[in-house]
Amino acid sequence: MASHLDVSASPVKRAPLRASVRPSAVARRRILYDRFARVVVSTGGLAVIASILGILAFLVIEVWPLLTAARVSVVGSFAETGAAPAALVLDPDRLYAAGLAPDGMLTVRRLGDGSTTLAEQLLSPGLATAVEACGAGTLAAATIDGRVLLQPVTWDVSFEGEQRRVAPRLGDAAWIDLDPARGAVSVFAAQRGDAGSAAAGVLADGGVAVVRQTQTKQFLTDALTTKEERRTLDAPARPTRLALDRAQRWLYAATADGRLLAWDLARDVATPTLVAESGASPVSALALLVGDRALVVGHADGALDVWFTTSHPDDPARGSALTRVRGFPRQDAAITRIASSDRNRTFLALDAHAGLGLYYSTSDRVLWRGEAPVADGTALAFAPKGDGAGLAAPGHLAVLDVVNPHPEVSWRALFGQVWYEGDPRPSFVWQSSSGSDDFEAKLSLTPLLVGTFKGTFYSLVLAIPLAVLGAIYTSQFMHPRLQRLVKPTVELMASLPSVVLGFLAGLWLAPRVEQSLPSLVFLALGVPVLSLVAGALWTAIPKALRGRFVSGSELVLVALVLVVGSIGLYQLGQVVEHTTFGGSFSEWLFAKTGARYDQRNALVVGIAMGFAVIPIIFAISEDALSNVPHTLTAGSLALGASRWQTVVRVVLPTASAGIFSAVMVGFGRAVGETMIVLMATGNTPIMDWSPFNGFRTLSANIAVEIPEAPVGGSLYRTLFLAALLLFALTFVVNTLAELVRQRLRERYARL
Amino acid sequence: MTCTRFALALALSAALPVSASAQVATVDAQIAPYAKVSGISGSLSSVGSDTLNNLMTLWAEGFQKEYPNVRIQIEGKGSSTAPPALIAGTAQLGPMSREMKPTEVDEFEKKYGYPPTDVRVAIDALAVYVNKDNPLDKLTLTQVDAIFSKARRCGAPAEISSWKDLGLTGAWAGRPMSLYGRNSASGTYGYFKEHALCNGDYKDTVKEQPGSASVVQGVTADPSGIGYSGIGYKTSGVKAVDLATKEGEPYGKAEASDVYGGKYPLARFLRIYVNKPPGRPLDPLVREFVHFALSKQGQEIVVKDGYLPLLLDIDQTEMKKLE
Repeated sequence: MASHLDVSASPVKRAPLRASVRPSAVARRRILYDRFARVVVSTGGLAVIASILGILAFLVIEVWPLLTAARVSVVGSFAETGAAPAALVLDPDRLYAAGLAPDGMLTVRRLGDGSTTLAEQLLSPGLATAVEACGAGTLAAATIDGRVLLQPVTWDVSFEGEQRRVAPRLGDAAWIDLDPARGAVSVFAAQRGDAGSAAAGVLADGGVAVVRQTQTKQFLTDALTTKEERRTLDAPARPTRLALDRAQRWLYAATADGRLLAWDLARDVATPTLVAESGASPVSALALLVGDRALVVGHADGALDVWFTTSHPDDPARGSALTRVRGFPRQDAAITRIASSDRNRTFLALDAHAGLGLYYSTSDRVLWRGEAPVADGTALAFAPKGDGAGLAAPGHLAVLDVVNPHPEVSWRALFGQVWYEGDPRPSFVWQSSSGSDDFEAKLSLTPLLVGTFKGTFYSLVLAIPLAVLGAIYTSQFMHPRLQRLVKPTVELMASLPSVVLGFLAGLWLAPRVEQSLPSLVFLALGVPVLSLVAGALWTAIPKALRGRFVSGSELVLVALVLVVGSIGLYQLGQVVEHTTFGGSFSEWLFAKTGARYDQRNALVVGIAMGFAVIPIIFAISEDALSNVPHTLTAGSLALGASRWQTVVRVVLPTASAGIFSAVMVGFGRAVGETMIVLMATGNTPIMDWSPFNGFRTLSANIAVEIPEAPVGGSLYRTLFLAALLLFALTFVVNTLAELVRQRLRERYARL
Repeated sequence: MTCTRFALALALSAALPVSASAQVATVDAQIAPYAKVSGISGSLSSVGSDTLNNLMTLWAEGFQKEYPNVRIQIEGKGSSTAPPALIAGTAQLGPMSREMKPTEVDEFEKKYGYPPTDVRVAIDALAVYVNKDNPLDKLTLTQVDAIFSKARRCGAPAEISSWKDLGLTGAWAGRPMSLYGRNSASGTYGYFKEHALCNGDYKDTVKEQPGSASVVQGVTADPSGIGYSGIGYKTSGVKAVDLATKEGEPYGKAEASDVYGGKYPLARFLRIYVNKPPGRPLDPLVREFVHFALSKQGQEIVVKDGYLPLLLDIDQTEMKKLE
């Protein structure tokens, strides 16, 4: 830390005065040197300012795209000849769209020119009652004779040299018998994926039937075992919409009388596990978001809500409930179709007046709203990569391009409380990524800000008194010979690499602190008291006896008292831990208060980071105190003030500006410190001010997560935002410190 | 086909010495030894999994014995660091302890036009570790979920936060659990979340460590610690508990017989991703390195590092991917 750069060493050299050189030549050379020095110094200064501005500009450029709005645009529109498809799937490259029409005709069309590449009559006309698209590029249809057809469409990718070719192919169709009585299935939902195939449908008698063909794969052999299971469920009213999750665990239904139902298919119970009132307006569309926890509910009046299962906020034993978690601004007419992305929690909603909206659940954002290119849409589907969509209508097929770079970032998602899927209540959470795409990114910077301030607070609590008092003693009372030894030693502490400090704190200090916490508390409180007692004892010694000691030898006495006292206090702490806390303070703490004691905690970081901050605060304070004009102290002493009075009344006020700036520079160092917190805390992004818990700071978070963040992604830019925040924080603190320092300096300049 | 594979797996697990103490897996004798080829030199860079870090280092050492002119640089901060490095071209080898996510494959395809090639190189038994003095010796995944996750999506009725909740008595009953885990860059973090926590979120109190070794070190130094890591990082200071999927299912040990026999629920493949253009041969240096890893010598190194070697048919399937 270049806290006190010595700028006085200018390159001006004194030219030897020789008789033969004329004075004017010397003066000219001096002017030259002077000019040279001025240019070098001011160039250096400007370069520093320019590079700081450059860093700021770089950070802003990296963060800026977070603000770009999403865009949905039409990239192709084709005339459709046959019946309009009621379900659509697109291939990952957005080259083809496969649609299934209610007349049982499956058509695959090339999106470049709208030509039909594959057409097959899957069901004879009049056989299908309803058509849906389900997971993994599968089209499904329910029939009048109680069956469900699952027809996967696969896209074979081959390479001819550099050229990538995609060819559509119909996979093996699967039939699921929903109603052995061969009654018509009207409303249905189906899933096909790694977990197997499943379908649920409303039978003619109003009951709900579920058939699951569950697949399990043996880890080493890839052998598949399939198990079929049929269930009949009781619905309190006839369901009008159904949704089945990919894991085939939960079935959701909306009924005509305004209720939402959920069955946990893992339980062998026919009645719905959860029931909720869905609101006054009937449910007109139902879709699950990726991850299968959140249910998007579209209403006939254009309202859009997100629901999920939550446990009771205070008492999990009271069971869970289907809860309306957030609502989006109403669209103009009844929601007819909802399509959710496979990549994140984005979804598209289409209403009866051809209004189209793009939304993101977690960040509660309306990303885009506009007019659909075709009216009376019959099918809406997201492309598998989430970068496009297809919309079918009678006589039309439209292809949409969806540019949606950073939907998960919003003001509220970054700093506010967000109600995440499955949580009992809104909260501040940082959990940025995981090994799967159905993970809901939680990007709240608030726990990191709290962690940053927590670490700074505990380190400054330790560092400020020690460093400032140490500086006062060293500069005002210490013997000059000792002073010459102490100052460089403390400043040498600053040269210890913080990674070493962090390593020591995490692996060596943390277990020791845990074993002797009461002793540490006793030491922290007892040592100052002991020093005062020692001082009092010293003054109690008769003057005649005291005079025999060499000045400065009282230090030896203090050291003796401190060493003996510290050992005593430490032992006392151990005894207290055994008698009062039953041998382990951390266990006692947990048993009595429920507070957790983590081995790597704020206390340990406070000690380690305090150690790193002390030399900075000490050095600047010491300089400020030593630079108080000698005339002031001499005058004070001459007027009869004691040394102590002089220090408190004269020296401290004069140097207060310097001490203040020392504390602020120390604060800046603690805020930005990375390695110590990285190694000595558990990096737990919790919001808790307890000294016995860990925390995660903005800087440590950047260090931990930047290598894994895909360049240009939302996490990457959010980390840059964290860096910008850190930059702004230290900038504001330093500017404030400088302003206050200037004012204080002006005030005491007249002293 | 599947039938013969299953029989093979059975035969293999039966052939392993069954004893109460730790079992050492053996490499299938039919896996071919490495055959050196000529004209291999240059430098290789590997960025990715920390679980595979030691293994990659050992393979690199063995590989350099064959080809002294090859320089290999290995960085292992977590599986999630592999895709960005492969995409940017800063690494030719991307070791990962989980499969690539579809979004990561998307990014790769956006740059190269074809997906990356996934080569399975070893088998890991992802283990749940407790301190060696801890009397606990088995857990169900439902319990593991209740310990590590705040969502409890695997269906546990209540949270487990102290050792008393697991039925430990005496001094252990009063101790709160101290949770150690990996940071989110880790494939182990993602795999554990998906398979042990039913995709639920971790508790905020899980101490995220930058490497597997730190997790094990944390559990060693902290008597009330519990953490998860690859089996290759096991030390004498920790104990890997037996795991069962749920109450009533058989418990499996994190050892060869139970992993091959399918009894251990957290068995997974360790992988190396490479950038192989379709229809064109792989860069010879990269190809030879992966060949080496899949050879008899390479698989013996797997055993030496504490992981489990591939079965013969998987080894051969993976070899074919490189052609």
